[in-house]
Amino acid sequence: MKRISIWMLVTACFTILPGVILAQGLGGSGTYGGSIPATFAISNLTNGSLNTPLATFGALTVGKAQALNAPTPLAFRLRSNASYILTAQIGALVGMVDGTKSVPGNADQAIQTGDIGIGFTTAVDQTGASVSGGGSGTITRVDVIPTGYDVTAGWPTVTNGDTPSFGATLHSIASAVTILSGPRISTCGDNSSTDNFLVVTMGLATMPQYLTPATTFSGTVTFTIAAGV
Amino acid sequence: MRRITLGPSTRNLIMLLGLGVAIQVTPRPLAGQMPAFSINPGRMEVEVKPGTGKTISFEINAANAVTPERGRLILSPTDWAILEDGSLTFARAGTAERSAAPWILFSPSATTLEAGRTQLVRITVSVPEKTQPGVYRTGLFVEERPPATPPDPSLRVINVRVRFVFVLYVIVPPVASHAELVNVEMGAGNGPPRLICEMKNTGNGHTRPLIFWSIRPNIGAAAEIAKGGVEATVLLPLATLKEPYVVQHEALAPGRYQVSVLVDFQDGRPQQSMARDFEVPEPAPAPAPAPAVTSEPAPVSPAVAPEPAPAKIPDDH
Repeated sequence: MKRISIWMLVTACFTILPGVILAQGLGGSGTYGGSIPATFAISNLTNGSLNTPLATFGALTVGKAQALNAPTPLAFRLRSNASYILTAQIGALVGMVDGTKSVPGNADQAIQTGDIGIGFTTAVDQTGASVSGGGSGTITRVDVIPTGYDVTAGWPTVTNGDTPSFGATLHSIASAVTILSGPRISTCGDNSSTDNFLVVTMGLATMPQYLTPATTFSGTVTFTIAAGV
Repeated sequence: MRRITLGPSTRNLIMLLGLGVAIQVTPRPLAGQMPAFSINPGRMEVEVKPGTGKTISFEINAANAVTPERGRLILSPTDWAILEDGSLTFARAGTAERSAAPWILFSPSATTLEAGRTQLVRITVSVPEKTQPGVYRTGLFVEERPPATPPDPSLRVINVRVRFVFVLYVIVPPVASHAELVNVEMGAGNGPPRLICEMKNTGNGHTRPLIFWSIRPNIGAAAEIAKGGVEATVLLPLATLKEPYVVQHEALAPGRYQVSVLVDFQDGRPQQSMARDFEVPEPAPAPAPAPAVTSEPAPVSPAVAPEPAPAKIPDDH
């Protein structure tokens, strides 16, 4: 019985020890010094990582309604305590190449980045109570959307079933370009606060048409956040 | 059935064992769940003489989280530039003009970040002998490691990734900016009025112009209807900037206006100013609806004699 007890004691010690060691990293003494860094955060609407697709196109079935295929736009939150610049760049293309939009002509054409429009489909929401220059009253802050990326008035009209003249396409961001910039966003709060962020809504659209069949295509839009350079 | 009776010491040991098991199953940082993080500072300027070196650092700060989070970060060098419209763009490290990428060594190039922790990144800058004075630039991307699994090949999908950029200026002395306000104009269009300031820097140093503007109707001494200010994007050496700034949210009513601009290049030289007249035209008439049958005569707007165009205010540099 005594041998069993010793064996259990040793086992218990080894079982507890890693947890005790791990627990050391969860707390600790602090000092009263510190600084407030210039902080930027981009997250989804539940303050989690922004790892959902920007757009998932269904089958691009050719119709006769001259209607764009515009998947549900992606809304996300931006927080910062300093001025910010948000750039976008398309990459990792599969089943699609970078190029200008398809145009009427006698040569066969496949979908290219220029056939997919990109833009902010909803005005930037600046109404948070802890948004610098924002809120429910008179809004004084200005977040700048470059010309072509503002589609809050709607996507362009399709003519003759061809790719319309999008203000900006994935081809426009073949190299990184600024798509949004502005002054400090958050006046206080942290990454869980419910009122200290901008809500930015970005969408894509394309025109299903008689392009060369492509079973799949994909790409990745990389958002880069910079402090005021 | 035989009943097992345990002594007090045995019971205590079992309780201890249970405690150990409980600690082991306590949630630990989850791989793949990246904590929100930031970099501090996001920009740094370091002066280094030719043939010497300096080591600088910045921090990657992971935010605290209610549930443990952990993720793998990778760092990679990049070149960057500012386009004429103020847009920030990137290029492969070492390919841009005045790139400082070949001069830097940084560590770590990859790290595991846990919620509430801080990771220091050290950068050693070594400027070669006989380097010409000027402002050289590079940067470091800080981003989550891409997922190991490729996207579902059956989808037509555009994914999103997010990264931060740490911007580094390497200044090889002596440098001096020589910036000038070249032109001011109001952007065309029906939306909110946009002010475009053309600024040119012929020096070998950079500057961050502060721009102040006011708009008033161009009728006598009318009060200003909009004013504001902004810190422009950096004006790099030997560069021109024609960046648009939104003056106010609402479009201006049709009429004649004057915009006055004052620019402080923060270079110790006098501020520069300029004024321009501009006109907001009447919006194009909407397509005429089908004529309505009415017995009332259509109202006639009183004739208004056009006001003489005001004398142009000379540029005041």
